[in-house]
Amino acid sequence: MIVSRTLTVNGQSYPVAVAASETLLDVLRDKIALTGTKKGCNVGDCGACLVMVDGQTMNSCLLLATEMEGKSITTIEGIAQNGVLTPLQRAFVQEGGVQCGYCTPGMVLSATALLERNSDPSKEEIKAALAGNLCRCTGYTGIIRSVERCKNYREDGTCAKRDEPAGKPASGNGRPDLGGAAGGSVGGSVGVSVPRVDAVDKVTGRAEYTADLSFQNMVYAKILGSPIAHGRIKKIDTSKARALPGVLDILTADDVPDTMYGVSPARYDEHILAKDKVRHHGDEVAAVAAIDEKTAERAVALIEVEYEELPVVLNPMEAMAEGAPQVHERYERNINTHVDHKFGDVEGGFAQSAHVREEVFTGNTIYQCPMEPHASIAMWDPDGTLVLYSSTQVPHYVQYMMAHVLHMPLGKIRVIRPTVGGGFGGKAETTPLDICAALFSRRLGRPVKMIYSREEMFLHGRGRHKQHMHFKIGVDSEGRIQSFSSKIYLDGGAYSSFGVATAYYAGSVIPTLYKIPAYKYDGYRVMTNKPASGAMRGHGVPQPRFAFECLLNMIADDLGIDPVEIRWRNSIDPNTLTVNEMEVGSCEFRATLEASAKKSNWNEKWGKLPLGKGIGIASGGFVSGAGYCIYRGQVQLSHEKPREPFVKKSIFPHANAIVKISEDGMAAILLIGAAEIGQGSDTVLTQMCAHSLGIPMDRMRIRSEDSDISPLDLGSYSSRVTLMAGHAVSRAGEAVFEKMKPYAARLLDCDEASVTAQNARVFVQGDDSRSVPWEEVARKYFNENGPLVGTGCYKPPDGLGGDYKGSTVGTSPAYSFGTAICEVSVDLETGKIKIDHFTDYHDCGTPINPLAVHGQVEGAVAMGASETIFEDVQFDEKGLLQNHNLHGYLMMSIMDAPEIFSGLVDSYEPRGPFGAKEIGEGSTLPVLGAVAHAIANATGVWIKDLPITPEKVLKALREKKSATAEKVASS
Amino acid sequence: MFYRPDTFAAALRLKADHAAAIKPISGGTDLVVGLNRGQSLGVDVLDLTAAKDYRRIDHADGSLILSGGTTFAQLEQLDIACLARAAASVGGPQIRNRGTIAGNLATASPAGDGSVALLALDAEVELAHADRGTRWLRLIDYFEDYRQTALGDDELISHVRIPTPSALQASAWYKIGKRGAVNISLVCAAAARFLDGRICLAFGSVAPIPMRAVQTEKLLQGQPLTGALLHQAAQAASAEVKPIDDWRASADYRKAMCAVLARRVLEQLQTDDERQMP
Amino acid sequence: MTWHLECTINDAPVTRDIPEDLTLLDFLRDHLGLTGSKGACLEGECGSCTVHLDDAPVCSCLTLAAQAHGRSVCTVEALAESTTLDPIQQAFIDTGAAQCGYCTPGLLMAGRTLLDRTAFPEANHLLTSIEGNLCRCTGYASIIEAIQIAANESKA
Repeated sequence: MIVSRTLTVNGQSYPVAVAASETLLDVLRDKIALTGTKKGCNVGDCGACLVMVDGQTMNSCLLLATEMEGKSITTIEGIAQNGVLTPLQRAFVQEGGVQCGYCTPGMVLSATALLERNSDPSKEEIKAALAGNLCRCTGYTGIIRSVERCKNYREDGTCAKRDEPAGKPASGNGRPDLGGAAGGSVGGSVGVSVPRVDAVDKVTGRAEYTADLSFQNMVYAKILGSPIAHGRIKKIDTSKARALPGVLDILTADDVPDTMYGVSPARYDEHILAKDKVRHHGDEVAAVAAIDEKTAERAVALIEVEYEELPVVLNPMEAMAEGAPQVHERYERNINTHVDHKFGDVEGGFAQSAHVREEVFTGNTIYQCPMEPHASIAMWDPDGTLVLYSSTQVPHYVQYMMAHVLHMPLGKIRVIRPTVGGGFGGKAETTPLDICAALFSRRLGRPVKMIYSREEMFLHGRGRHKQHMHFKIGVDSEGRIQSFSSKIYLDGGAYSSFGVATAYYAGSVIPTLYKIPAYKYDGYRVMTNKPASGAMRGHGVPQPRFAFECLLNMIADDLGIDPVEIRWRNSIDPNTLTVNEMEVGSCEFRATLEASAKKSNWNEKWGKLPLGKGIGIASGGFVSGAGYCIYRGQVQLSHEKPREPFVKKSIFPHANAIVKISEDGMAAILLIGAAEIGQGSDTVLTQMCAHSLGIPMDRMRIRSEDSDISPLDLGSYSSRVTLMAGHAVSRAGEAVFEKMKPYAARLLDCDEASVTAQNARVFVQGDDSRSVPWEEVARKYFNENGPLVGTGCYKPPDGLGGDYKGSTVGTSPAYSFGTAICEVSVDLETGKIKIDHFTDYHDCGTPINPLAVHGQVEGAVAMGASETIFEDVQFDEKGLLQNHNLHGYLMMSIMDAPEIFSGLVDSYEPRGPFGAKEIGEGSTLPVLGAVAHAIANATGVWIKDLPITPEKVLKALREKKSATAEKVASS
Repeated sequence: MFYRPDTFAAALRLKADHAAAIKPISGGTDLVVGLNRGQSLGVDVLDLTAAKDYRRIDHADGSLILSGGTTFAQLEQLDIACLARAAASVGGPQIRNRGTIAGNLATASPAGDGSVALLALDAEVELAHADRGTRWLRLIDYFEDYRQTALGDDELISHVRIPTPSALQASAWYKIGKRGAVNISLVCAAAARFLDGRICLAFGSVAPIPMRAVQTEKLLQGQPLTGALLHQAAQAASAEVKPIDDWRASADYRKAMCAVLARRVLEQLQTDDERQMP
Repeated sequence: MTWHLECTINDAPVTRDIPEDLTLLDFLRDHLGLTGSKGACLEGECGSCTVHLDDAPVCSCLTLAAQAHGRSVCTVEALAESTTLDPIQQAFIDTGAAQCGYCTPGLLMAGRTLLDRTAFPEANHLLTSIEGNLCRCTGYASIIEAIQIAANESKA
């Protein structure tokens, strides 16, 4: 008997005529031509014919086709969608899970079904799930490996081996519905891993960085740097350079405005070009503009400068000594900043401690080393507006400082930030390139382009301060911190740069992680004859955090407490005002400890690894945006500003956005000055704005590069963009939707309050059958009112911070938390260190884009690990840089990067947009200490000065050996 | 002037005629880096990459004959362990596709990984002149002083001759760099054992030139590689090398590493171990 | 002195008189406007300037333009065919392998070579293929993943 059946296979309906006795297997292969399903035994022993029926795996050779009406059948052909393999399929290919391939379709389906019901199966569970599938080639190991590889793959398959917060137990913060914002839209593009909005441009080479741009009649300029680290300029002779054909103009200190500039308003101590004195190797002395870059380079080499060499001072302790060479006259004993903070009863805390330990740690000089060198192009409009293209993280501060240097209103300066190839703090200030290009361009009437070479980048500096740290922690008998004191000498280099803030940060963010009842911090930022130190990822905090975490681990060892446990006991609680008056809101620090310990199998490894293998832990956290602007007062030329007393509130909004809807309602253009520098801000801001508008992301464009188009945003530093700019764009989106509401209410015949939007439909809340297209409402608005535009802005909360000097640094609306566990192998004969694995869990609030978050974490782990064991800018005894290139200054190559597991814990920050906090810098903070701890665990010796090189490891091992031998001999 | 001869003979002619006034270029890792730093060429350039007969690998007279223009990418494919591994440890693929063995030998950097491997293989180098013909030198006699060699201004390195695997019993390579790739040797070591029982041991970055540890080799000749002998050889190697302190590493560390590396490469010879380099 | 260069750039014949000391990188960027290839160290350390010279990846900063004479050069601009991305480009997008994007063109060219040469690259081949490229943003994990995905999709 033949019957008519409709089989639903891989979502498609197939009307087929089947005999009552026909198996599903035969029908699939013979009548629907889906031959991926194999016949191996036809009696249900082998599993080669396995398919999924309503999600259950079954052998199709044992099923009758007539039974299949109304059921959903999935075969191997239905696993990959549109030709894109699933992660599991990829894993099978990559892990050798496939040999002859005949059992493979059944294997893949079995494993797919397993992972659907259990995303984290044990090896035993995998074996059990695949027990009905036979394989003759692989011995199964490759197949098991393939499945194991796919644990925790996300459903959309975009990234591997990463955890998502979803599904984890709620952490008690009472996470509100995301739709609560906007009074309107629900669901949408927030919290989703979407690819970056600029990725296509970046993978096609279409993304334009500053150095990629050219303009008609453009010329080039280069800067002459000092060949010595300290000296008086006696004479500059530019005649030979001027005589070189192709040279157009030359600048020395005499030709430029006699205005000091810098970052911290109280410490503007940089000349545009060195006046009288050079203070470090590479200090900018003169500049040449020429018809091309080569000519400019050659001309620079022809400038003759006569110096009177001065003695150099290269470390902060020596620089503070009486009679040491003075780098600047104005800083007595070369002390640029002194911090003297004391909170609580520090001495009493130590006195009542059961155990006190004191250690000295030394950091290293780290350079950000973004892949893209700094570049600037300047030109002037006929109306006297400066147009400056600059590779910068902080377009607004560049605008502010250019106004200051050129004595012109900010309104006459247009800063354009093309695609930026990484910053990490190294592009957070106005450079001599910006200023010299502008000056040359004004003199020549032509566009001027200037680019640093890799060497010049190092010579310009602004990397991480090398810190000399004396730390002392007192704990009770159970390891609870009673008191903490630190004394830090920061090697500031030759100029202030961000250094005042750095010196404060080195102290202020330490108490945001642990309950510290009493805290003393004595910090000195000291001038030396080195390139200026500045703000680098984690600004001032990574080295003190490294020292603190190492010392805490030492104390845990002393007391026989597990390092995870000692952190748990000291962990700060949510909604805490720290001893130095930082307002910690959401805090899932303990969750990061628990998750990372679990994920890394800490309990099975700690104390149980053989010599040469080590595991280590450290934690860290950071601000989600600085609470205060770098300069005081309103946006105004600094020379015109009256000296105003400091008030504990923001004078103007730190982030501002405009959303402009196209006249047909089909596109929204987001205008904001937030600086996309590779961290993904354009993408997450677009996501948040789309969400609050109630439209999909593909209807949005973002314009963030041009100060003429986009309103002020303070830029990409202090991990501020997601939280601050995120609020601004969400609010701008909400403002647009508010304007649409009356028109929507009229179209939908409902009251305004019940109008909501999602996915480009505007509908009545609770009744999505009553809806109109989003664009229709937008058009109605335009017809009556003209442009549909909304604005939004964000000011940090008033009153952040205490009333003591320096209390503003470290203030933030919110703080992140994270824990990293590092596993290493150390070759005990050569000292060589291999960082094998990282397990990192972070509390970044509720992630806007998990893919981007993990990208930040992975990058931070590699960078932090690299600075722990490889990186160090080195100087000779005269202060000349020794390794200012990429073969001398070693950042991790792919061969060195560890395996990284990045996970997120469930968290919601009430002060963040959609519950979000920062990730970019906080992700760096646990890394250094975790690596150092793992190395100590592997070798039995602590290395307390960075970087931890093979040579230091060997030396410490040798010293330990001889000390032990002495002990044995003397006993 | 820029010359781009399509045969090696034509290149030799140009070199003989212009001597020091013309500079060969292949991989560009010295010459073009200089240009990129704003230096002028100052001399004419002789591009050897268009000479197709300058990239050959031949077997002859029981030896392997490499043209000077053989790239590291080609060397990586050879089944001579120490040379292939040394080649694979140079730069990244982009560098290995361009860099040549003649360039490595002519530059004569003490850290030249290829030179160190060839020294351990007791290779010979052929220096050629358009008119005077060619001369073969043992590599141990080729390196004279810091970046000074026996190569004349009017000569080019035409070939390198190394014993084939049939004459070679085993060879080994070990390099310590500061990171995992694109890496300059802090210390590197190569060793080879020949069918006649001879053992050669060479080090890089521990003397003004890539050096053979001839004193240490003497200890090893004709002896079974016992644990005690390995220990003795390690100490001898450490005593024999003459490293300097620089910002990459101290002399002490380099000396200590020579002992470790000597033992490791000799052990590798013994076990004929083909395990992956760390 | 100038050199009369004849070569193929992204499948198009190019004939130019160029300075002899011009690097291939500068030629591409400044003479041809192909600014996809980036200069970041100009000494062969970072791989940002990687292009294909007769199908092999090389540092264009270390190659004289004149050395490309008679040869074929391929740059990142030629990876995509009109608006269709190469699988490796799509994979870079999907995995977030491009952050700041400056190292990306060089990595794409290095990775593309691997895929051209090997159907199913082993992990160590994959790493080796891009060991000459430095990245400061990503920590490399997403780049490795992207190339693995592209390898599979090229052959799927």
